[in-house]
Amino acid sequence: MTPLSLLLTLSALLFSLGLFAVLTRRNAILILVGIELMLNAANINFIAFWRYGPPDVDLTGPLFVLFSIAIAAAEAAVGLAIILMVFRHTRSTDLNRLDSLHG
Amino acid sequence: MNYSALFIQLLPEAALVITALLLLGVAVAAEARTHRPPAIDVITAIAALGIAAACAALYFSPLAPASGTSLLVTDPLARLFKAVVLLLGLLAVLLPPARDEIAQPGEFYALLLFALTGLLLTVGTNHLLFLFVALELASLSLYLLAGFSRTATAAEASLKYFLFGGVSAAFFLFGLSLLYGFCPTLTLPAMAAALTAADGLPPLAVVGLVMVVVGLGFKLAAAPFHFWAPDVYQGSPATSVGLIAAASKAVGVVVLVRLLLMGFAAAAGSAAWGDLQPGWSLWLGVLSAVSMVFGNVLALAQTSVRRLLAYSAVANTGYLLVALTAHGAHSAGAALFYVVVYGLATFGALAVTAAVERDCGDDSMGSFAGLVQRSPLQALALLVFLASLAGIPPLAGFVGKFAMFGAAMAESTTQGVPGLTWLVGLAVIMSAISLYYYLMVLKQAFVRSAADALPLQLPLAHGMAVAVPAVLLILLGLFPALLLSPLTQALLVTLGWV
Repeated sequence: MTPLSLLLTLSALLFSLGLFAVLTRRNAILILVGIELMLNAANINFIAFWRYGPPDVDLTGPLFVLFSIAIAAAEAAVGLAIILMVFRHTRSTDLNRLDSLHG
Repeated sequence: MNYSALFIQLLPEAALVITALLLLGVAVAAEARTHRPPAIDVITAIAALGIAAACAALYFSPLAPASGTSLLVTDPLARLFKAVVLLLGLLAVLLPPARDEIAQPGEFYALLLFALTGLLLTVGTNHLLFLFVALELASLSLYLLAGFSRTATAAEASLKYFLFGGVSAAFFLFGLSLLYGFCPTLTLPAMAAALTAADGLPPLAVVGLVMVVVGLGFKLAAAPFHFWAPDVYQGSPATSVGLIAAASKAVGVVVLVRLLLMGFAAAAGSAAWGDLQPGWSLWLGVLSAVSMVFGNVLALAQTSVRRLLAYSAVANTGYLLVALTAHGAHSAGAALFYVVVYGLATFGALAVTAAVERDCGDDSMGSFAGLVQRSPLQALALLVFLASLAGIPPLAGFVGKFAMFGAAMAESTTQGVPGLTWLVGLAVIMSAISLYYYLMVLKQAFVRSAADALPLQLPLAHGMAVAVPAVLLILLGLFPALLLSPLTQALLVTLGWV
């Protein structure tokens, strides 16, 4: 296998792992961890394509990774704030106990 | 790089950000002096002035020719939709929140302005990195706006919105990373050129494009990515819901049009019956059919008017995707027209619902009983909004649907046979079904009598947030060319198809 396909396999595995966590976990914080895994899988792709893919003189890939790391951090901050707010109301971060909205 | 030209180009966004910072400053100063949050009227007045300043800046900003970078473009399409987003934002600011619902108005309206900034930047770019950053600015602000209330339901709605949104952002980013492997420049014109040179998309880029469309499908509340919508519509403050339902959806459609028609027009494939070819057009056709069926069938069973509007949002996304499936200039122009009209109608219906809620305490259908005796003007406005959503002439919703479906039929015609008859036929049947649940609400408002026919009192600002969309819907229904032809023209210029 070439380095590129190895790295792409790794990132695909990481993304699937994150998605699996999102779909199976019922705890909001662990779902957030799964989302972070999925975002980082994309970062591996950017770097892998930049290093082994078609030539990129503008450094779009590494720049994208810098931006996406910053956005992932902002997303985690917003997410934890929302989870904290929910915890204040329900004393729990379990999604199964969030069922006041339905219809 | 000429920085003063860049600043003038970004003047509307700069006006919004400066106003947002000013609001935060006012909030801090008021807390420090009186140990209480500032009066909400002062805050909304400052926010409204800021948006008005942004409108003025937009009006006087030069129509710059597309620069080489594609990072910031001010093409006609971007300008028109920036104006639409600012109008919807202004209406959302006018809509006053329920009593004591918003504890910190300074922070709430600052976040609202940040969300508007993100939406403005999103419509004015052809670069996928910039698009992602701008979209996340808007999304992160909207997640917080959805939960900015003291109630437990708002917190729950916000968490669900955030978790679905986070997953869809991850899909979007992963899709972009695969597209980066296909074309390292990540601008839409470069993508289009690479696509022509490569003679079709390689499999990895196809996966990337699918994931990007999934990410946008969440923004548009297309089924099966709509699960957040009913909860957010029901649980969040009306101001936030108005912004999410109208402005964020309009921007989602613009992004989809730009991405697919400018970047990937050559990979469209076909959803025409008997001539199915793999491509994004086929996926949109399937998404559209699923959204129309799901949205309309589930809306039939709702008793909460806000949830009903959420499922109607899913159904309307389906109608919009019918036009995008046809992937021609006229159907896409009609879709852009319809999303504006849809945004106005849904915003207005939400504003009337907020007025009823303020008085009766909940948004169940029964609360609307006898609205015509309690407030004839509100009831009349509700009639305009719901009839426009159902597509009854002479309102703008009818014109929009007619233009979309007509253009979709005309553009998919090969050798005298319209290929999209199956999808347009489904859309027409589903529109007819939707009439039932809109009429259920109207029946409560006009036929049933209220338990107590006390007149419904409304603040002036709230009245304006209801009246302006209603007048615009009637006006655009009578003179659709006022908006439809500029939009189609702008789209043709933007795509370079003239």
